Amino acid sequence: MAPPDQAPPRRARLWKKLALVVGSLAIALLLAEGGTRAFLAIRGKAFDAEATRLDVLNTISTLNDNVPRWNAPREETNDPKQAEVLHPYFGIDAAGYIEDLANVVTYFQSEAATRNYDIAILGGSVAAIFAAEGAESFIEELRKDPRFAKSIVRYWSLGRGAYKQPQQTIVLHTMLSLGIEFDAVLLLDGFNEVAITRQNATMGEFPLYPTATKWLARASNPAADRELLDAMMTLRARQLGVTRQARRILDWGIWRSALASLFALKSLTRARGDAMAHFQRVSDRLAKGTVSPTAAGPRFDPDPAAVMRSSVKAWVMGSRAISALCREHGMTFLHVLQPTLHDTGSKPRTPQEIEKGASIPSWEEGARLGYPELRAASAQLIERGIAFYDASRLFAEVEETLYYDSCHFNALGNQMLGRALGRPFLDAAAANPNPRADR
Amino acid sequence: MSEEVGQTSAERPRPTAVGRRGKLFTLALALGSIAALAFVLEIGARIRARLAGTPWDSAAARRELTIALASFDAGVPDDSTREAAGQPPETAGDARETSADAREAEGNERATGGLVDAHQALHPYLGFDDLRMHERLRAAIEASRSPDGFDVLVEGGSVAADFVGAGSERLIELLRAAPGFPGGASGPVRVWCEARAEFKQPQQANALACALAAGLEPELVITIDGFDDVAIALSNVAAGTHPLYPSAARWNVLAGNPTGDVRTLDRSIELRRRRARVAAFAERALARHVELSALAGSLALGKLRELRAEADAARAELDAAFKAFREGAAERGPQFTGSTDDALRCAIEAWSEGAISMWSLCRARGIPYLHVLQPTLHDEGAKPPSEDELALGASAALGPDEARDAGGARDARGALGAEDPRGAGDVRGPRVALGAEDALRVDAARRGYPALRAKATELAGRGLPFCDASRVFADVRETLYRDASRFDDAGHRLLAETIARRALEELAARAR
Repeated sequence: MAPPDQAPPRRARLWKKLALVVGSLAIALLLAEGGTRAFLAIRGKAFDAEATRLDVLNTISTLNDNVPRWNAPREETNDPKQAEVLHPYFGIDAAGYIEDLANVVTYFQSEAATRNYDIAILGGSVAAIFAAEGAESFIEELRKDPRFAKSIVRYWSLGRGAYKQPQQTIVLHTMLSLGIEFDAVLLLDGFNEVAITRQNATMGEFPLYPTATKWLARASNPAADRELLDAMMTLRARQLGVTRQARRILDWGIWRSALASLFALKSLTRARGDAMAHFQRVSDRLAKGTVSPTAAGPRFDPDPAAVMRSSVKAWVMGSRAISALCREHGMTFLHVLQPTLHDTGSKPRTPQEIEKGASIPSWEEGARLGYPELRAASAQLIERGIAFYDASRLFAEVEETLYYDSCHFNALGNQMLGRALGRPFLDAAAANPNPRADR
Repeated sequence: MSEEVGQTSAERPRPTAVGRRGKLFTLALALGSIAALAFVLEIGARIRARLAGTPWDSAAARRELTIALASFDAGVPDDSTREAAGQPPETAGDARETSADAREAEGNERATGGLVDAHQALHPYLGFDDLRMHERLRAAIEASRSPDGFDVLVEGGSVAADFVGAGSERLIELLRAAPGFPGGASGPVRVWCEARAEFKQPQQANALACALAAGLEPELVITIDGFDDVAIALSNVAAGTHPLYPSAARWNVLAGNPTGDVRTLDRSIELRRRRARVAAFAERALARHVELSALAGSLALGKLRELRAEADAARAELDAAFKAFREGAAERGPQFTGSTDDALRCAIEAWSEGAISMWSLCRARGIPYLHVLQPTLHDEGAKPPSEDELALGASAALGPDEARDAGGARDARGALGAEDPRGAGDVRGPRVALGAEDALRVDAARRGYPALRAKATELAGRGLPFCDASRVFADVRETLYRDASRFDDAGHRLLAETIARRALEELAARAR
């Protein structure tokens, strides 16, 4: 027992030591944070907290079924409006889209619709994300032209995750049936047409049917198949686990720190990869044919070359069909082949893109083998007078990281795409013989 | 104590035999006490159970565990909230139907509780489809690609499908007889049916887009429609479904698989997890033979019931989610709050757009197109109705069972009187009481057909090849109609003559 008069100096020393330790730790952390930032900056990849936050949000958005849902607001992935449900004409749609359609119809019956210039953006998830992140840049380009300088230009995001032909054609036709007439249609597609059709075929589903992972799971009854349900349960558990991890990164502000983000994102990427592996297992289980064969559609030739031929043909036919509908309604039409990571030569891949771009084999092969065929087939469209723009090489010289998975690119990429589409769209509008506004 | 701490193990005193015995005795005493306590508790539990009037029955306990294991190890049970409406499935046969198709059809019929035709299944772009159409389309595609022959594709609803069966022979005869017919006087002319019962726009347009995308290369496309477009729109609205959606009577049954919805799926998964816990617990209890002990058995059964209650609660949550799903967008489509007039306007807009789309699709491929407005009994001036037609047409629009299921024999005035001052019941003074569904169809024809004709004039003005066949029976007094919209072979032969005439004009115009 120490004498009472010595207590205060000992306690003070203890506090001093403690403060020293805490202070040193804080300084060490600050140094580590600063060092990490300096290291990243020297390597030409300066830390960007906002980009990290978006990266985490993008990860969350891909977790419900591995293709992002409609784009806004991405944080609300549990919003019932984003829950995908069966649709009689599109196969699958988000409940929110179906419910909001009544408001869209009301707008197109209004006087404003006749004054404004309304552009429909059709396609899959890349089109949906482009509408959210690249459409403003696109419209800025249009405003440089005297014809659009004073117009109110509105865009309507009709892209849905995993949509592919003939879905885009049917979406447009359904909109027209509801009395929704746009002034122009921008079709941005390509990847799903060659990747998802290939995946469908490997799963035993008719290639032109909607993506098997969504359609088979909904059009058949997975709850009746215990093994499938167990696989889906595991997948959902992993997906929800990654979502929780991602939310922690956002809620705890981890994304603000370069050092903490480094570790957190690594762990998140690992967990996401694990969820992807389970996604593949569910796909495999669906492919085993335990689901209703009627849901899988008509019989087809499973030879990959035949599947690719029919996919490319459907893409061409879809473009021709949309072009015909647009022509009849005086709508300007521009068809754009979207860029994609696994199309050889489309972009110098950064280490992050290599890490995050890993996808299921049928998607990678689909893009690698299908894109040259899509480019070749686009000649048929041009020959028929369809305004076509090949954006598949848009990122061919871009050294920065743009892709955050195998097919989706970030806001920077979308803004680049938006700027690139301005001129071809203006040319298509100039060539429109019977624009709606003049009728 | 400090001395003991300083000793090495070698220096510690070795336990003596007496000490060891003492420890063993203590251990045996403890074990014996535990066993005795367990025995006393077991006896106590048995006495308590007997006093409570439920003596311990190990066989019953084993049975409960076994049942729990068997029933909770199964998948999530089917949605039990669906009620069968009792409509017997159609038994249409098809010689080409394979046994696999038949098995699938049986399964499909069971899955929908017999609410739809055994051959009906969900289709991603058409809403629903007949399973047999897949193989027929394949055959049509192969034939249409052959260099010889003239392939005619017919789109529409049940009247169009009937036309292929009953009117196509006359159509072929008239086409071949015409000089300058591109198919020649003796070349093969094939009429393919892509029409399905209760199809309405945009289903015909989607069916055409799908058939063309799949590789069909017809020489002529004919759409025969009109009645279902207006009639189903009204019955859909009455059923709380958007008029543009497929027939609610079919779509709602086929699309009613709530496990396709991620919210219900998550609850299904939770239910499965809880059920798996029950099954795993029961399995462990059985393996350990807890039923042999009243004490352990009671505790195990108590826990089992607790787990089962949790699973039941999950089931209740799932049922609530099922219910919410049924009221959601998947089945009813976008909210439609308009009147029946609005529904008719919506249907006619869709019909017109469907015609334009089909024409555009054909034109882009250089395929001649003809759109035919089919005749229907309750379109005023369409036909002088015979006694039989009045009796059949009023009550058999959907068949008596379906009319009953749709709402019984409510007075038509009750359903439509508020909007239509004439009241559906006034039309031609029907001899039988109208069911609500019949009344909707009569009203749809009466109010919808003039609007369809007016729209058709607009379409023809745009150059769309149109054939108004709504007056084709205007002078026929004999009985043709079997119900409100479908007519017999004689009627189809008459319709074929009108269609052939107009189709030949269109083919000739294309040739020029």
